[in-house]
Amino acid sequence: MRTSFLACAAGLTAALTIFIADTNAADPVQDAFERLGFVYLDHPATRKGLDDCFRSNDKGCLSAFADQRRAALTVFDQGPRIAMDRVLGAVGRECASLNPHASEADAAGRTCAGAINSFYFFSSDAEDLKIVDHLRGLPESTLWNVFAHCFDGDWIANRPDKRRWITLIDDLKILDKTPEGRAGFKNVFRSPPSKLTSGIDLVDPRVDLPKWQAARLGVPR
Amino acid sequence: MPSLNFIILIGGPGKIASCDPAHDQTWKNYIAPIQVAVRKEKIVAPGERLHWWVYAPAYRERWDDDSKARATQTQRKEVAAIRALHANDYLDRIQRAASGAGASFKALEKPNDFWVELGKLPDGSVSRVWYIGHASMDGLMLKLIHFGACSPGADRDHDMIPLNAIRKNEPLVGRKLYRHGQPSKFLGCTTRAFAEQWRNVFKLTAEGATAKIDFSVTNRPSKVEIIERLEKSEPTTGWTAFPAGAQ
Repeated sequence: MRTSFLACAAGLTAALTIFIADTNAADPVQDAFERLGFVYLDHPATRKGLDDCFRSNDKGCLSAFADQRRAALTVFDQGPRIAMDRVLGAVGRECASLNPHASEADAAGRTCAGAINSFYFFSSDAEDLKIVDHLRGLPESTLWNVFAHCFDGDWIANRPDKRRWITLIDDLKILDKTPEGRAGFKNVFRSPPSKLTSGIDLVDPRVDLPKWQAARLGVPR
Repeated sequence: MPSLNFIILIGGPGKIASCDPAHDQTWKNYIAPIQVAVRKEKIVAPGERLHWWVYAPAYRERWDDDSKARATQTQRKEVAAIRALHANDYLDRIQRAASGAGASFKALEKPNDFWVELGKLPDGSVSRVWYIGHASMDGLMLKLIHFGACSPGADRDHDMIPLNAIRKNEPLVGRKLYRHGQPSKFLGCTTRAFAEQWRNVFKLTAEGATAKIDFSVTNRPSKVEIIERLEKSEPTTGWTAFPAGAQ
């Protein structure tokens, strides 16, 4: 009896160890989206800002930039097609499990926001069409999370055809339950694009980093 | 003159993080300058009613953290100072400070409450909006957290008023704003984008910072008024006005 109890306990411990190891084994792509969804206080907003960070060796700024640059490169490490699949997969999965009532934002919230921010890296007409088509196929509850909770970022300004998004919003009657209503969301797409960005263009994996900057930060170009 | 509402949205600190000595070493960073500005510099114009809208979760969490058993000496000192004033916690102290400044006090529990509360005010009654707190080009950060290897920042959905929220909420709050009020000011690092968007959407003058603001200037003796000191706190701050008619 004692032996079988010990064996059972040992088995349980082993199982728990495997479970813990498994949940701790970070998925680098998921981790990358989480980083892309976090708003870093010290992230440079412009090329000049980034140059100033290098010149003054501003560690907070450089580390925020390197973190997001690495994250964007991770999403794209198997090419743009796989990157697109990863983004759409993360939106469907993470935005569905987001808990907007949590008192603190959780990993799912950041990962959902990061996947949506990554739309910025897909600005051709064909890519944009694929994103909108994918969103149309998602459950209403997921779309509610996407629009009511993670709807922000520079990606809105670089959509090639904003009418496509306005039509999508028109079809989402559920958005009338937000204080802003569908009119508010459509307003965002109708506005002239701002000349200022939050700096996501600096980490765009489609654009190479100067060799010396990549070397200094220890990130791939 | 109609009765006008001057709203000051007060963002909060994060918890003290030993890995980040650059931010929020005191909980008072965003309260003290406003107190000074109201009391000594008479920023409230005739006909204006002052409102302090305070992001409560930040101050509640900071109080809980500062008053925990393992707090640092600095934290313990701040808690002792509050108790010596017979206040219950930071929020209670802020509420009393608001009353001392002749302001009404409102605790906001969610970032979106800012828009909801603006939406409740009478049309044409908001003479100006000020913000004081953390910010980035993405928007106003009402509370700071640390992520990964101690990177300071905020979660877009939970503690931020993101840039696009201005455009999104225009149908709700646009008509609340008084067309002949004074400039709205966004006192936080890199609030330039927020100020510009505010001007673009509401067609009213707004001001913000291109780069960092050093809030510690509040504690240095100076003959320059406190708000101007914040606006010029660093050589690179780049305080910028976006005039109503110059879009």
